[in-house]
Amino acid sequence: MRKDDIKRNKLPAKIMTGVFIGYLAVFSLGTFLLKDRDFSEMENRPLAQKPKFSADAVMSGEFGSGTEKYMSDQIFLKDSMMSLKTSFDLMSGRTFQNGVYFGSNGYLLQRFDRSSQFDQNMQMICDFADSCSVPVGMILVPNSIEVNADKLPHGAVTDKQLDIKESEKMENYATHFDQFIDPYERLIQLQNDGIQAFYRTDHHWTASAARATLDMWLDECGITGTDAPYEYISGYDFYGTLYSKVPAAGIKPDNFGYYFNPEGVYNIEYVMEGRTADTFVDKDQLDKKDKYGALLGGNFALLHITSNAEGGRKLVVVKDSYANAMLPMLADKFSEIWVADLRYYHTGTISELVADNGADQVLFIHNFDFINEDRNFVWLG
Amino acid sequence: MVFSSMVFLFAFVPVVFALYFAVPKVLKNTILFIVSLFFYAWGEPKYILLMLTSIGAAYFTGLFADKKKYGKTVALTATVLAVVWNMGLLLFFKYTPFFVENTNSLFGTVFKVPEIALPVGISFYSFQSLSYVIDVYRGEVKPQKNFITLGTYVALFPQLVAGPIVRYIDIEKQLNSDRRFSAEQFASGVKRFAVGLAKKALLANNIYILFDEISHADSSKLSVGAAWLGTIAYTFQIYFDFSGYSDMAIGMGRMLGFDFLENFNYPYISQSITEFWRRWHMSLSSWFRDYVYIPLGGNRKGKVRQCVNIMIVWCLTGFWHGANWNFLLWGLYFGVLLLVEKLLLLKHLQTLPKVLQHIYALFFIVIGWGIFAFEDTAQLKSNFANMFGLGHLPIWNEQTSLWFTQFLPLMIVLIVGSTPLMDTLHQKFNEKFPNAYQLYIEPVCTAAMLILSTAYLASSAFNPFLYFRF
Repeated sequence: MRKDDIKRNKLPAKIMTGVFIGYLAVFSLGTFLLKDRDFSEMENRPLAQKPKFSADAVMSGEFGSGTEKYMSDQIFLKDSMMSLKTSFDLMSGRTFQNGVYFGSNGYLLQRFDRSSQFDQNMQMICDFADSCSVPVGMILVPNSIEVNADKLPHGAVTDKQLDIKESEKMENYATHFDQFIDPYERLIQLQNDGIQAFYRTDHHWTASAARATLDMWLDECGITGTDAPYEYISGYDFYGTLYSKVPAAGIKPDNFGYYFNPEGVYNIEYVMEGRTADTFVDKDQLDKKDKYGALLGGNFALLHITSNAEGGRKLVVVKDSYANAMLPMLADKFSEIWVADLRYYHTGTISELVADNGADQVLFIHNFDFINEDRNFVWLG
Repeated sequence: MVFSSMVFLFAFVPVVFALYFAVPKVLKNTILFIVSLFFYAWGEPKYILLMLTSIGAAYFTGLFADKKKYGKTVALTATVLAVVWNMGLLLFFKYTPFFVENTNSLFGTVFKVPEIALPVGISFYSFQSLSYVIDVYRGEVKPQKNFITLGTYVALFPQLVAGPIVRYIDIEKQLNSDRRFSAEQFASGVKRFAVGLAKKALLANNIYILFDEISHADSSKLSVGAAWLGTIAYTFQIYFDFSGYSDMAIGMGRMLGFDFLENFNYPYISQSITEFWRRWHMSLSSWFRDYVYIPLGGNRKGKVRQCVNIMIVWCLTGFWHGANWNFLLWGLYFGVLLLVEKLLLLKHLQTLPKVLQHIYALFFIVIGWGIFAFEDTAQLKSNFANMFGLGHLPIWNEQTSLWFTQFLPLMIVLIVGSTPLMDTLHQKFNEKFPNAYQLYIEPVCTAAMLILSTAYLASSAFNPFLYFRF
């Protein structure tokens, strides 16, 4: 290039050479000498391991691509590298990354883009409600981006869930249910009272929001609200799924908590898995990254929950993960609950579940995002 | 293997450099040849034989292309064989599916479209081999008698897969073990490599996000402004991606003791399309000039013949970029523009204010990339319809504002990076505060670029080089 920038003094060239050698050495030694990790808590996914070496794998190129994956997953300081990238993007003005807005007060808000799937799903659920032999209720929870819309960065674009709710179509959908609960106002009120309705770093709602919403539904059903002597157990630092998408430096963890009823006696049968539990919270999971996943240990095809609740009511719940925060309290009102997750429950229909078990009523517990995207409602039957 | 992968940076480079600088001079080419083959075989082991055969073909045809030794007939035959071999390779591997498909659709035939994986870098190394043999035939260089040395030239890993297209004549001396090794040479290579890596990882990959979002957006989210924004994003992406790769190749070459010619010279500051093509992918344009345009007669056989020659060269240039109609159209587009400029426009252009000349050139450059970006004809058409208000879209909308504001700071960096401004600043600094600059600022900036680029490469899913397809 330019001859004149190569001065007689050799020191700058030596420093530059040192920079490069140091850079290569730090990253290659750091990558190869440190122990490989199996799982990334930050990204919430298993990491690639050393690929198997064989002539076939080499010739097919699998060994090559496997090594690429292995090295970028196990690269020295991987978590810090990801934070550095996200933070740098954020500094350059990218307040919207990976589908997530950086809102004020540390809120990460997942953008909502309305799809035609929403109406298809609602129609399927309404059709089911019309044909169902027992009363059907629905709880449709708005997402954090709607309830916390005031925290969105300037110029943020997202489809308003409020517009959908206030549409004629939605009014029409609501008429198909015996109870149709829209907790938007209640969650706003909760937040105004200083109670967090959604986790800042996760796409789920809090136990408090779930409880307030459950009370609304119980009220509609003519059942007294949640009144067990709950203890609120909290103090777990929680970096949620949205943080995994945009792990910027300086994001503060959420405080995860749940309601515990010391008088509750439960039997939770994981039907497909063939195991049972007597608590709603998987304590082991509380030590891991995904604290919300401690509720019931995640999502399963079919749960059969029995409890010491009074009144002998039997309920069928069709749900997504938002329900996991509500089920512990729901079980204190219904002595028998079948919980189906249509993403995994494909061995029978909900109608059969209702008929076979003599359920008194059905409750759908879903959030807007889920109804907008999921493609499993055909399994309602 | 690609430069921007962790395997290249933290496994291949450390091992190769250690080997290369540990062995005595006589063995350096052998090491380079072996590691280059490894570099090539990494992604596609099955084509390593093709590469070796190709080197063998270049070696033998090159030997016999020596007119002085074997006479004109033998030399010419060898050269023709080299042309047939290299063009045959390209035609077979790159264009067969395209020709079969179009024959089918044109004549209603049902020939099976063969599934041929394009060998990486074939467009580059076949051009390099060919230039060598032709130069031997023309008596410009002596044939290379050492197989390993010639193999090193063809397979040299820095420029193997995405150029620049290095001519044998330019690095002949260095190949014959006359390479300079000094801390200064190495350091200048490091700086160049870091700049290239940063261009790729920090700039090209990031602006690609904008192009990708816009080109995949639902039409309800689009606007006329967004269509322009997307095409401009692609314009930046392809420049920073490709010139970044060339920078890395040149830098890597320098560290190994080679001086490759420059491949880009700030193409987006051009004031005409003619000037643009003197500044963009210079190694390709000069290849076509030296081995197609001039042999066809260039401008020595009259205006009409010159125009025909120009159109031939540009159709080929377009087609070289990929076996698809859009690339052919892209070549034609520039052929026509260059002809129009040559025959009537250029004289008048130069009387215009400079700003207008820049706007004129940039407009046609961006339109050109609009053709280049979409291999799918329907997408190409709808993008242009959207850009020119024929897509029933609003001029601007909220989503466009979001795209615009989110990427504005990056766009500003890209605009500045497309001009020689940073280079001028470097020089000014270096003159005014040579000590502070050389001892602190430059090393710190280089280290920052390397580390930040690594952070981006380690955490992003998207990372291919655009020019790998070619």
